[in-house]
Amino acid sequence: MDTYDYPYTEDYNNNSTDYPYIEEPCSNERIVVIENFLQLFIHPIICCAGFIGNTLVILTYALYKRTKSMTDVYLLNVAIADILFVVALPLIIYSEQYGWTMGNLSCKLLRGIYSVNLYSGILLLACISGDRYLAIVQARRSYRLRSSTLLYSHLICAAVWILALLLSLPTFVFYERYQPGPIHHSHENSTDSHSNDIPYVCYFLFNSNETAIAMKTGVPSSQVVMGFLLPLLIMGFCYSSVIVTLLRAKNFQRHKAVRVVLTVVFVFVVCHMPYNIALLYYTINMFQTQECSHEEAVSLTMSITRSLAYLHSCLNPLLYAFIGVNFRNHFRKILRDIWCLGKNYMSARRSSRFTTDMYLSTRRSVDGSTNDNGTSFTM
Amino acid sequence: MTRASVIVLMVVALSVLYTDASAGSCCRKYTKGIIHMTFIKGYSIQTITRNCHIDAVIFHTNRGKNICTDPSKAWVMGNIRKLREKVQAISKKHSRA
Repeated sequence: MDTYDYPYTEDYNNNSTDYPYIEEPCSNERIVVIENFLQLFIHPIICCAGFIGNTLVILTYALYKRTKSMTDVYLLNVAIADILFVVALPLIIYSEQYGWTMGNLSCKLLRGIYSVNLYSGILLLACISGDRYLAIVQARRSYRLRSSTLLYSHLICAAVWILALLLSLPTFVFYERYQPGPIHHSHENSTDSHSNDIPYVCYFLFNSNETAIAMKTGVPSSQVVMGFLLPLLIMGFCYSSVIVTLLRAKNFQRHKAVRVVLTVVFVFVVCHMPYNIALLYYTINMFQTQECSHEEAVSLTMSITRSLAYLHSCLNPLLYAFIGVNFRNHFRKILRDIWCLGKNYMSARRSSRFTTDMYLSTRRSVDGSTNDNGTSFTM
Repeated sequence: MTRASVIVLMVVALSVLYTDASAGSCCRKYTKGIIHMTFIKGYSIQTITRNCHIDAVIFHTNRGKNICTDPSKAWVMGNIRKLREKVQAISKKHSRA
């Protein structure tokens, strides 16, 4: 066998049993353990709570309350975005645990749907703040405007969904299912055996370095700007104007209203700010060489703060819908009806199932006809 | 009792779902020194077009170490060229035999 000497000085220690100065690929064992913990024990709780809360919001709108105001339309759309999000999340968790066995299309679709709902949910919250600004600060000017705004709000919602879809296009295009890690070029007895048991991931895959750099920085940047900073600015402006107007008004309920507004903004900031700061930091340092410990700390921070951001999708029903007096009344009606339905069902089970269906349909038609003039805008 | 069982359940669940992710992990820094050819039995290439964020050449040593190196360094590309020549020589020898 020939020796292949290389004519450079070598400071690679020949005699020692260990190599002291070498850099190896970073181990991500600890991150995987933390990720698994979050995915198996924290995210299911968020998913369940989010599913129940947002289903109740949608049911309340579908069965008992006609969408009358702009805020109603927005709230319904937020609930739809959140419910799609919490339905996509378990499927993503399952796929990540089992190497995306459902294939490449599921990778693109799940990641894409996740991204669309992330954007639309947050942008719609900004729309709600804008609507409240119009209603309270520009009350006189918007009075005529608001009477014919149902069409506008549908248009705005459509625009938000289209914008969210456009912002998510890179995810749909560039996410692929593949085996991660470097491409192996083995020498001598080619031992490529280990490449078979690397689990598949669903992540960015590019053809050129230029697109890689553009998208790997562009996608998180757009998430920080369009999915956090812009909505935060809009909410900041609208709600601070709302608070100023409320404090000037002489209304005994104003303190409650101010509290509600502050809670909404506070929860938004607490849930989304940590993750967006981590994401921004991660993106800025992405292409720099760094210590494994640094990489691990940043990834860990991202994982934990991401869960906090997820939490927001199950807090929305509480913060926006159930905080309204009108909405709570409608919801109480639902609970009462379900209770009655249950009692009726128990007695009807002995005779026939037909009566239950009859009961449900009559009940629904009665409630559908009752006209209520209140809007869900009460804070 | 219940707390203990919850912890046991968590450990079991985590260990069942634990997959060796180190195979897909990335280089984040380059080795400073120069790696002698005699130690190297193969190499891998890490590019930013996939899940990693810096370009790197990973040399696999005889002792099973994976060493991250900077592809912009001349000696790294030299080592790769030599490894390729070595493979070609072996395959030529095989075809002749």
